[in-house]
Amino acid sequence: MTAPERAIKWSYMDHWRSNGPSGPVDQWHSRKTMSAFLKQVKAVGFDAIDTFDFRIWQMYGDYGGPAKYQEMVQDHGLERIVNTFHAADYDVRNYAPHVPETHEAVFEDFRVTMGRWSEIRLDNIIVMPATLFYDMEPITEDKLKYSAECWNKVGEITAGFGVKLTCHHEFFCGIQSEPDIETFYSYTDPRYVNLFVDTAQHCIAGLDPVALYDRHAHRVSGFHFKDTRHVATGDDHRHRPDSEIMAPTTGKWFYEMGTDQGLVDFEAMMRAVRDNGYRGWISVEHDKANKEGGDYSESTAISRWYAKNVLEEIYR
Amino acid sequence: MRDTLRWAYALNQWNVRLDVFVRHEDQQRALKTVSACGFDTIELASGTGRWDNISRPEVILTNHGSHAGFLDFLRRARVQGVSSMFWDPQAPAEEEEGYAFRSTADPDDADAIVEWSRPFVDFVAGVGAEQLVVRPVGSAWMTPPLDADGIKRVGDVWNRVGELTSAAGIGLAVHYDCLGAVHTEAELTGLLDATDPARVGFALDTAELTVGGIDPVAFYRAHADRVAHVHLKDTRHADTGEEYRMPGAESTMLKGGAGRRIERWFFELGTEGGLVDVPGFVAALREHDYPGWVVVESDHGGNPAELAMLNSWYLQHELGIAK
Amino acid sequence: MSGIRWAYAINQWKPQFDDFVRREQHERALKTISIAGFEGVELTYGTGRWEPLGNPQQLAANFGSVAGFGEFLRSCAVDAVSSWYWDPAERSMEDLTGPLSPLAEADAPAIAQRAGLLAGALAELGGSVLLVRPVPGAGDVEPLDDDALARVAACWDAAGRTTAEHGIRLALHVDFLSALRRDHVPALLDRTDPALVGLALDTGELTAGGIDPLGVIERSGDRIWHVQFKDALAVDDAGEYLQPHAHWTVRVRGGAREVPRWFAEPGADGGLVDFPAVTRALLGAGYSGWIVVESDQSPHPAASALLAGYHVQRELRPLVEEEPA
Repeated sequence: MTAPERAIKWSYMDHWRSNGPSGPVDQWHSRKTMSAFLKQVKAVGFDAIDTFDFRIWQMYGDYGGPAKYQEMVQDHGLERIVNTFHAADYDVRNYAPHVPETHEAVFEDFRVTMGRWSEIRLDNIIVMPATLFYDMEPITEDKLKYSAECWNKVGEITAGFGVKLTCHHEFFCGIQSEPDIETFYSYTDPRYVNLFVDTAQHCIAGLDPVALYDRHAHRVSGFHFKDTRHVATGDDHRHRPDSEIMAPTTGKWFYEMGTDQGLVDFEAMMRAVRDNGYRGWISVEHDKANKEGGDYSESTAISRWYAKNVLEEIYR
Repeated sequence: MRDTLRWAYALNQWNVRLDVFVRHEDQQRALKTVSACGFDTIELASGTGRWDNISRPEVILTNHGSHAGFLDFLRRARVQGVSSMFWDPQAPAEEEEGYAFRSTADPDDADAIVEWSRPFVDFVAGVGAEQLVVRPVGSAWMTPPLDADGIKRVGDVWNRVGELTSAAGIGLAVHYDCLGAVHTEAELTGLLDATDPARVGFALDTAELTVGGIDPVAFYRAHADRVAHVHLKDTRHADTGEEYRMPGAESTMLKGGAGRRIERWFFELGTEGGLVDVPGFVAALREHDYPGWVVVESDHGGNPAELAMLNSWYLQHELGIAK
Repeated sequence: MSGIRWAYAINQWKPQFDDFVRREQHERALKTISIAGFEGVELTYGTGRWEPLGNPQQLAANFGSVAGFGEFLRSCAVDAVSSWYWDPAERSMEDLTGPLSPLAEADAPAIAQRAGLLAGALAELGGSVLLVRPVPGAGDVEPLDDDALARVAACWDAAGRTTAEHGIRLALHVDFLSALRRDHVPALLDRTDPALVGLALDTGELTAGGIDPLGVIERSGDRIWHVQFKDALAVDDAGEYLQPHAHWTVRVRGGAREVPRWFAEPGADGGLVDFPAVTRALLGAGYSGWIVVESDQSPHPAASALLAGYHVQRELRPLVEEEPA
């Protein structure tokens, strides 16, 4: 299943819930639930996993650190941990890319974080490059420039650890519209700041993820392939106090690739991946799949079915 | 699964209540899940009424127009075909004389049951499946103990159905379950002896035999020539000896904990504390060049997609079968 | 009639951080609590934008003001927030503070200030008790000596003084992992001012900790300011609460025995607590105030609330109502 000649390998981003005797639990609940998670991901043919930065505490507490945890991943037939997502607590008072006074706190966070991860090889550390939209608006050129400067420096730090810094533009973050994304990248240093294309997030924000990818293919360092059935309208992207779960229009934004009524054109996306000569990992994600009656196991199987039976027919 | 044994997956675990697993998109998701797990063939289980539209032959045909239409539906999810279909004539069905309650143990019911089998025989043959898998007799708690004559009467019913299946070019396999009136190893052997080996095979279910106190590996080795079909699943519990006779055992024992707070009897392969020697059983199948289908199932045990994925992992990584 | 009022704890609806965030989910839970026969709801402290019911700032952010949340409650036919549970070791994203410890003298003013904030909101919402986790878990701190107990007592006296300014009582909630579990509850209680600090009796936590709630009522009945009725399905008789991070390894994961579920709603199959006996003992001790029913966590929160409501209506409330006035 991991034949070396394949151009594309598939990684699974670790959102996960299963039903426990007291209600839903995530896979970090116990070694048994972790093992069951890894078995299921492997069974349907994923090659590796991605994870969250904040899981590092459980990796140290329960498994003896990222390297030991990765051994468990490998014991289940998966290759390794490919990417980690750095979910920071943005706050304009002390940690905000568009607020230069807070940058030193951001840099220090990454120096510490990268040290914690240094015992394993990661491809990317993924960030949301801005605060929540409502904490950044009005989005000005200056703020985009300050943000770019922040990530240029962070990217230099992560590069020192051999890991790419890559930006994942949530539809509810301050840098999500097409012009703002373009301005932001015009100020970033291509050596240090990469783009991580999340098909659903861009689609919700009203962008064509394929066109965005084509424009920036040279600096795209990975993908989240997930789907949505909704494009944000009105104030969905700036709803206080939260857009991701609390937007009045939409109870569930994210669906697995291969869902009925999905808005992302994955076949076009895969052709673009092929035509741009991308080789490497594509991460599959279905964030909050268990909302509104969904089920992570099934979503994982359906998305992998789609990758195997539809996308691998285009490019593999 | 790329293997010398032929592997299929049972859909029954998705159909846990009368009002679920009815919409085609839900069925497509289950089929894609099975496919993603490496199985391209499925087993169906009988049901009744318009909501059992992937279970009751007439209703399947109403939904998909024809056998070919149903196969097209499966193939949309990259499931290529049907291995087998399970039928219990003792379970009342709207289509069978309006929920008539009949038993193979009652000679007056024999003609009707043979007649009832026809839609299943036609459907199994029509979709190119190999085995009609049947529950040979009702639950032990519902009937007086079967003596040798009683078992012979049951066997006769299945010999008659076996004539129909043979004529249709398919197999008939009687399935042992842990609640059936054919319960002990002697009774089971008696039933096999009472049926025509040329027309009636045995459907060996590893977990059901284990719950019933019969070692599936030893039983397979002793009766390999009669085993036409296999259900592979695990259990963590065995009947203490008399629980199958509890009134309403389907509920009181299998769902109600048997007075021992057992929340669940049937489990996926590789479950912690599983009583079935799955590697030993599969090795025995290989030694005997078992030619039939091995249907993996976990029954109504939990989250169906999760169980299918765990079963797939077990086949790939514990039994070393390439997907 | 006694002065007992029945409420239900909402924490069982939020098993994971991204669950139970949307308004319509809150509305359905509150309506469920109401129709199950409860007049109040107990909240649990939380922080950040996915904890809309976690603290007064989030209530204001979501409902315009604390009073706005009160209107929302009443629109669901729930009369009051009976009480709020707060562990000072929980950080505050709203105030940019990390964990606070009642063992650290320097943290005492911030703890009192935060307790006052919660008490102010509680008073607006018709509540009467702020429950606090008085000390960390036994495996996470040094054994409590006299000095430590004195510092903790002073901290909670000060916090109790602040909550009293809002007419809210402060009650110490001792859970089965608490550093107070072994012998220290009386030692701490005796050091606190009975006018400022009381005890929250949690039947499930005590039972899981191997402590008979009837014994606590007998000894400290006059100090009980709040009651939580939940059932225990298992007892930590191996002393696993002494392990570090027992909150995670023992409470969440079930410890060495992998206990699938420690707690459930009263009357659950296999429950160890004798609720009629506890109810009679509370009446005997002259208890008056909220009894908050909870299941802690549940595979099916609405079913737990309805089953608990049935149990209260059929078994427990009649005991209370037959008491002479």
